[in-house]
Amino acid sequence: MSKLARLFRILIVAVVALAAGVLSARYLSRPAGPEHALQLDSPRPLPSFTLRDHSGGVFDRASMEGHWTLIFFGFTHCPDVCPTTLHTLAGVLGALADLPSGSQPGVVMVSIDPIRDTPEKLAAYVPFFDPDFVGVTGDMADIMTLTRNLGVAFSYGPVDGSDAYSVDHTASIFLVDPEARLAAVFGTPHAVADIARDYQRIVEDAS
Amino acid sequence: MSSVPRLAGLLLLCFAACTTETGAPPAVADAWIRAAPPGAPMHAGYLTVTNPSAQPLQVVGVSSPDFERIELHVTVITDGVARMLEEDIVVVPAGSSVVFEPGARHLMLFGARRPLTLDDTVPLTIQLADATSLNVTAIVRAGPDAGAHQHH
Repeated sequence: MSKLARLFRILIVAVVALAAGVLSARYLSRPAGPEHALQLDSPRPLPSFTLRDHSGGVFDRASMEGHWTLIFFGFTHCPDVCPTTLHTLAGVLGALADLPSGSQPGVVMVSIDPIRDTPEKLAAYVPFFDPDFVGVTGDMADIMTLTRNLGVAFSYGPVDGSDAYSVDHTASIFLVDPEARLAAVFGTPHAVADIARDYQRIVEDAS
Repeated sequence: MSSVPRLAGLLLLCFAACTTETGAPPAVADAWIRAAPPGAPMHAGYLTVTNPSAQPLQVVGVSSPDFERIELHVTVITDGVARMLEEDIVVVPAGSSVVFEPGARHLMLFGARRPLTLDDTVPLTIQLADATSLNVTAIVRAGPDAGAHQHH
């Protein structure tokens, strides 16, 4: 073998070793990802929609820009799952209270029962669980723009003339980043510690 | 005095106690109702029914002077979609217990007859298939982990 060929081989080994070293160092220093949440490889922009918040103001894509948002779907005639989720999210905010205010999430419940859930009804319901929580409702078409985009399913139980019909709905919690893009999905069951930890990891990873 | 008769006596005592244990009546414990916003059309209630007897127990209904109507419900989550189903009967197997807890089996309480605030107590009567009933007092709480609140 010529001297040049041997030199060339040594050079290749050196380059490969260097590349492996750099890659593994990057991999090892990478922050741990979420354990329960499903994080999107690249955040997906939300579609345009126009809804109302519980104070009567406009709630649209721009309402979610500039801060992180935990958003889920529910209705006020829901005794078990929705209050449980709201109570859990109040616990999550408590667990994240030490984060700088710019890193703390807003919490939004979008009604999938806009016939019964007027802004006034939501105003009496959603902030009960935490004064900063926002209830959102509006036209069914705009609600469905959002639910279709996020893969949220909902269907109405038998409406027997009374006001007591139930609405089956996706119980996931969605994390929207400060550019109004879907960043992650928290599936059920929801535990305060899991959501708080995964939220912090995702937010740190994005900064 | 020999210790053998004493030991035999102790064993008999234990045997008697154990027999009483398996024949113990059913019981309801840890009853609480989730605090809901004023004017909320419905509340959810949770409790544990224990059945130490040798026969299965059938819960067929629940009533309270503080609510117009109470139904037995269960939340079922399939493919991430939460669905609420009504149950006519909840069976508590012999020597076992059934837990009503958030996101699963629960009482659906319609039409509160008075405003309910944290730490209020609500009497519940659990009706069984054999026409007997069990009484329990439920406490109004923010959540399952808010038990410490009542010690304030």
